[in-house]
Amino acid sequence: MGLSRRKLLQGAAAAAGVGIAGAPRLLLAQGEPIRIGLMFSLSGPYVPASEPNMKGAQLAIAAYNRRGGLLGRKIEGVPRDDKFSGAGAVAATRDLAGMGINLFVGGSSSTAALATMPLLKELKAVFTIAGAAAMSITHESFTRNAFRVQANANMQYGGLGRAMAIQFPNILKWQVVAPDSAFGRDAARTFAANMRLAHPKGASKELEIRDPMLVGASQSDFRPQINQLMNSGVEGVFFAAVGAPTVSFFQQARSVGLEKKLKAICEGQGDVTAKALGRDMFTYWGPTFWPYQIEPTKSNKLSQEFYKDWVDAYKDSSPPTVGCIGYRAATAILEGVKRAKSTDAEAVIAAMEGLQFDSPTGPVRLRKEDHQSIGTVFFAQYAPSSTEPFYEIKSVKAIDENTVVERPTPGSEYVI
Amino acid sequence: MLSEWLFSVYSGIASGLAVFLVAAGLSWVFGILKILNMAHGNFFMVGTYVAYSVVGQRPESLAAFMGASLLAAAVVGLLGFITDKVMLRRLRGADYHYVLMGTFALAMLVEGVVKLIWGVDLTTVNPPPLLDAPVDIGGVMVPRFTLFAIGAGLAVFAALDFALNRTWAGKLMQAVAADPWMAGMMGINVPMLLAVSVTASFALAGFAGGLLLPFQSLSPDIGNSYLLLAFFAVIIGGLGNIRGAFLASVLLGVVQQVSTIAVPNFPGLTVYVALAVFLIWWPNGIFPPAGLK
Amino acid sequence: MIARAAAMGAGAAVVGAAFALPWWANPGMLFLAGLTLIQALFALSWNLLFGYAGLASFGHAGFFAIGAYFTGACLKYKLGIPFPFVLALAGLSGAAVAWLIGIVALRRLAGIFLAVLTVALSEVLRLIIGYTKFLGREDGLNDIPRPIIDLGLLTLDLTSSEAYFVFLLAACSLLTAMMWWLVHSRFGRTFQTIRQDAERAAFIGTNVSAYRIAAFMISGALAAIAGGLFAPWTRIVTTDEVHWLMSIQPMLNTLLGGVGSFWGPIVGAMAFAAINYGTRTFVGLAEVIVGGILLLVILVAPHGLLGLVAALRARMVRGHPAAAPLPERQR
Repeated sequence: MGLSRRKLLQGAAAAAGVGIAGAPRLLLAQGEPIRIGLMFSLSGPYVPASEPNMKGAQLAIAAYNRRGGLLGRKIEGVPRDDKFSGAGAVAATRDLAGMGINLFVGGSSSTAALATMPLLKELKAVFTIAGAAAMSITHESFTRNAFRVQANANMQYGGLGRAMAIQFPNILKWQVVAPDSAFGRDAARTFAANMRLAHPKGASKELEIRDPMLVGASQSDFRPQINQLMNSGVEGVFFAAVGAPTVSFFQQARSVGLEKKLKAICEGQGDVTAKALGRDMFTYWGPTFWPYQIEPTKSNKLSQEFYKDWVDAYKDSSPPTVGCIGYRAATAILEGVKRAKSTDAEAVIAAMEGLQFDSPTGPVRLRKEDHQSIGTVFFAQYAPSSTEPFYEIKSVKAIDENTVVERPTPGSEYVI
Repeated sequence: MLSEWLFSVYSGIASGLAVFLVAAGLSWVFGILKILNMAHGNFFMVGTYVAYSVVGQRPESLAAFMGASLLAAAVVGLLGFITDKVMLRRLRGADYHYVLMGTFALAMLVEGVVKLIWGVDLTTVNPPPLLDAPVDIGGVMVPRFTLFAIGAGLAVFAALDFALNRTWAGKLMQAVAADPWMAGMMGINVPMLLAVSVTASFALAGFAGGLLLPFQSLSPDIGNSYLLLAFFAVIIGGLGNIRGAFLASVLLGVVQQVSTIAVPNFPGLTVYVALAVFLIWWPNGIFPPAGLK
Repeated sequence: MIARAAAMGAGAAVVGAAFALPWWANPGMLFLAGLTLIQALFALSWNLLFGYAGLASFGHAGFFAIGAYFTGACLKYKLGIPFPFVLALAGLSGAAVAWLIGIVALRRLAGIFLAVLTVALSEVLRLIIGYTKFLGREDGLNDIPRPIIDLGLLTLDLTSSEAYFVFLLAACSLLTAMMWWLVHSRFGRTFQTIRQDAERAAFIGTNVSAYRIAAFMISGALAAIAGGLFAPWTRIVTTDEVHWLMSIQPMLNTLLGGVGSFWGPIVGAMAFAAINYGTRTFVGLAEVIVGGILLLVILVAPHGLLGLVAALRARMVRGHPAAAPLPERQR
């Protein structure tokens, strides 16, 4: 009696579930789900960037599940916090590997990615990196089992240099302000080099890109530097730091009217700065990883689907654009498994080398030689707006990453 | 070029006085309780977030801005009273290492709570309309708010110096700081005075938080960055010495800002070098500790 | 006597279980266990300085980082030095740096000043590493290979996690035994006299300054060796290892376990690892938990877990509460 009553209840619940869900459900999960490890920094200073990253990856998985999963099985994302440290990343990787997982998406910081990569061969795992821009990942620290599915530092800042050269052909005096670190100095060099290549007056001495002004990594008072910029006759400024320093710089620049004196300001963070400035917003150029508000992305079917999913899942109608990075990285590995028709590492790697797939920001190709993704990098003109969130994107410059990506040199250092 | 050097000195004075607003309370607590409160920076941060919650991104007027700062002072002062009652009282007379570690633990706890309540996102707050536009001084655009910061720093110093050295309450505090046992013998209600001092120093931190809200961007790191500089100022100036803290803050600020022009290739290093140099030559500070001054 | 035997039995059981870990624990747990061993050694080194010599170092991560980077570089750039020698050299460099700081600072500074100086120095170290190309700058030293020790007659291949873990456990046990012997020797007892009353110790002819510097050197060496063992385990060393959070860890572990006891830091490290593991899914609560626990320990149980155990035993045996007060302020 108990059995039949239980069966009845189960059946009723299932029917109710289907009724509530509305949409027809595909019969899934006859076998074990395919589990994908999601390793992101859920604690530490860059949570505002890595948390949306993870969310994007989870939505990509959900989208695939809607379409029937992979290889007839459901896909399950297993999140772990890499605690923004090397040891944390290794712990997370080994923890997931111990559960039998060999497909990973993550590496939201370069340290976490670099810590995980040497383990992949031993674990027979595949890893798509969503967030780490350090050049060494696809150069001297290259490993076959990892793919970077986002622009690297050279493409990001070189792309910005090109975008600014094309957008502002009349600005001939630029100054970079960069943090005093390997990342900062490289960002400055690659910005300058690429600007020179793309600028109409690039070959002449007329274009002046001054030596970078260095700032401390945790500096919060930029007034002397801003004062220098006011008096220097410079027309365009690129502020290369990320995080709180960028926001402080913009705020302090505004308080003396630097933005009115300059013809252009650009930075490397994007919408995070605009969100922070809020009502104090002024026009600047910065990266956007997913310009969903503007064509051509606006009409992209995948972008529309992703946007709708985001709003439905997280009740947030202005998703942080970094979310798309996680989405793309998850898509890459899922496509790899799909094409390989297997979760075996070697098969997936073979399928992913040279793989081309569609993303909300257009087609993406995974370069075979160094496992660097090549697609399109976008830079937006962020401008003030009178309504929440007090900023809007006025226009977008798309740069084909084929024009900025460096030569593949897996195993050796990248030299600008 | 000269104007750049002059501006960096000026900017150094402003940022130095901003640090002094935090260092003053730190020095005061040390003078009275002989403890270095490592949570001071994060309580200052609580003050900034409380003021931000009241006044939002755009304070409507100077009055609203000052009001928010006073409210922040009240809230943080209350937190200080509670901290004293629950924690510091238990640790009176204990080995200072434990107190140091205890205040450190408190600092971590407070930072975690701030992140839980206000999130980790970055924000900026504008100065109130009166203090927003820059001032043109001889061709140099000076941000008006730095003038306010200098004024506030000088005012707070003057008030503290006066209170400690010329009022009877201040003299009582100096007595307690110099010799609590003797002060107790003389009939001074030492426990009450200690509680009042702690509350006042925390309130000062909260007030500083409100005042310095528009000075830089707002993030959960702001407590630690101010604490480090305040620490250095207090140590260089002499523990417990407000005048020393004042001098040292300004000195550190100027050294830091001028070094961006003088030694542009090594930003961020000068404060540590300055501290190391000072500690080797004057291990007890400019004004060696002798109670509270 | 029975209690002593029981304690030793329990200790032996724990060590036995630990040696068997590679066979019964999953890789994630094994990795964390290794980290715990390293943290325990690190905490032990800190307590040598604090609990025995009365000096609080707030920048102990500096020594740890020196050892980690030195070892990491030796292994990554395949300098050909046998691994045990690398560790010994790491220890020596830690001792050397400690000696330098000691002769400059310990004579003039103590207490709070020493604390602040150690913080400032570890920050400077972090900046210096940031400028140094062959130490990996901000990205750190990654892909550090595990060592293969050639002892002539036999070769110890420590490439696998299981093998390295056993080596790690053996090394930590050996070093702990050495420290235990040191602390209970005449040398160690002299430390205790200095900690209890430095002035009196000086009166009876002890060269307080020299002993303090010696304590600093031993502590620095041990911390550096802990760092040296860390580098091949995680296979990545970054400036995180010099961060002030790394300096706080040994303090926390020692207080949690109990300052007054030799085993305190080790017990504390294990307890903290357990708490960390248990709360690993509570995202964003890390600071609240760590700060809260440390505060709780200081206010309620300043003698840590072992102190609580001792107090419990005293209560059971003698029937009256033996709530030990916080150590008194030194004059």
